[in-house]
Amino acid sequence: MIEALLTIILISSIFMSGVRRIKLITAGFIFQSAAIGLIVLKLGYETGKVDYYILGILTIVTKVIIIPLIINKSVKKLKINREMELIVNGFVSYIITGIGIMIAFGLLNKSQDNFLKTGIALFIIGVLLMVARKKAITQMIGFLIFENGIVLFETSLSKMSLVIEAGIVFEGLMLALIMGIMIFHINRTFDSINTDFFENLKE
Amino acid sequence: MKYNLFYFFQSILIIVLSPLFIGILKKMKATLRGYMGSSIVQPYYDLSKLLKKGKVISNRSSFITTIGPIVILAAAITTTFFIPVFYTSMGKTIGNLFILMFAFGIVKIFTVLIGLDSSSTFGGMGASRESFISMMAEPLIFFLIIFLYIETKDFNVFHISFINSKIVHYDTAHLIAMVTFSVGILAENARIPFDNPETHLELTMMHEAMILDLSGSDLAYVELSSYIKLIVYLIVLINCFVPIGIATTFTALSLFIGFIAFIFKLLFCLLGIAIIETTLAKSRLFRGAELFPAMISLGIVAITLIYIL
Repeated sequence: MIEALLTIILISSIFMSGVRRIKLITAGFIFQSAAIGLIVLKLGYETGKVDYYILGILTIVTKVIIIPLIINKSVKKLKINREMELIVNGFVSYIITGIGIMIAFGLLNKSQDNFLKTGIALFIIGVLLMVARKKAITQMIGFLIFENGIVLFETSLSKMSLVIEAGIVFEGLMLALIMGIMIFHINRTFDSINTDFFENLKE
Repeated sequence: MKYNLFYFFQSILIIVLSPLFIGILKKMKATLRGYMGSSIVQPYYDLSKLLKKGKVISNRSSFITTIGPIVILAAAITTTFFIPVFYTSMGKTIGNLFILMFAFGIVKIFTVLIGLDSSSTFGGMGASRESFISMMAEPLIFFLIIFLYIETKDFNVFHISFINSKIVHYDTAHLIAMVTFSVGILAENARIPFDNPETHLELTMMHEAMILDLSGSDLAYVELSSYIKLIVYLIVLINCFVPIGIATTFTALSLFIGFIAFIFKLLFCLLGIAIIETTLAKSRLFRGAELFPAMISLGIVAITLIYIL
């Protein structure tokens, strides 16, 4: 069960790292967050801690339902559905992702905890999406993947308190909300959400 | 000796039944699209019709077109004897995965040569596209052979399915490799995200473009070998990655269970292909090729996971 969910997380993250259409990236994000939520719920069922249940439900509600809705709404408003010019193209970013996961699992081969390793792999993929893309909306999804990594990372550490976990989830939600509004304003000011145009001077 | 005869029998069964499975696949696609579709034994009728017809060979083509279809059919039939179907054991068998993949290489090379030999424009175009796709699909398959070797310390398909049938919980690496191999099957057999097997539209066809100039019995041989190729790839997927229920002892009950489980798993795979082919559209050539780096990356991840965990 947990193996299948980890498989979904890894496959969807590799898929997301090179796809251009924002709809497909969002679909991958939904699958990934649902898998993470189910993992957390499964851990809660095994250990009987209430913290895990709350975190799992929060993850599923915010990342499977609310954030994709915000993304889809802003995509519809902005009339962008794909990322045309990439800094690192699809071919290369797939391979970089594979090597990144390899390094994450290779460096931590002493640890028996799969969630920790997968979490660090998700950090790498999120950072890659943030660095290698030009559109602000894809960079936001990159940050959200990074945050999924944090959720997985902290489920492996049992000492974290519920306040911090809930804080992290709400941070992601706030980020999505603020970025949804911000991207709209960026688009109105610069006529594009390409972050390269931020260098241009405006009166 | 009895056991070796049984291997022979089950391989013959695959050769005989593969058009039936293709007929079932076509029927599934028709049902999913909402029309009646032809009967599931239609491929047999097609093959017998083609075998009765005379053949026309272009006077510009050389001996390659004459011997090519027979070589292709021979190579495809040979591969069926290298795989377990619903009975396997640790006995001495010829089942090396490399022999299997290189026999499929012969099929591919002769198909490409026939395409070039017919000296029509479509043949050359199809040949170039097919080589482009298989150039990327073959490393993928070899990645997975390496994965299976690390997992089971064996290259023999019979031994791999014997060892893997003892696994109770599949780990992450195994599942990732399974997904990767399924995409590899779609690429190697010219199925939908890469090539549409039904089309004869000049700009989109790949496999069909190469065999456009064949007719009569030659076409029947190539068609039958492509049916066998798809079924053999699916059997390698089933028996290497999910060999649940495969008969490992030679008793009537276990053979029966193995046969039922095999049919069920094969029909499940065919249903998966049918669903993919009805829901997805064929992607553009270079966009389809972007899937391969993703799959190679998954292969790297699978090997890393199996090697470290």
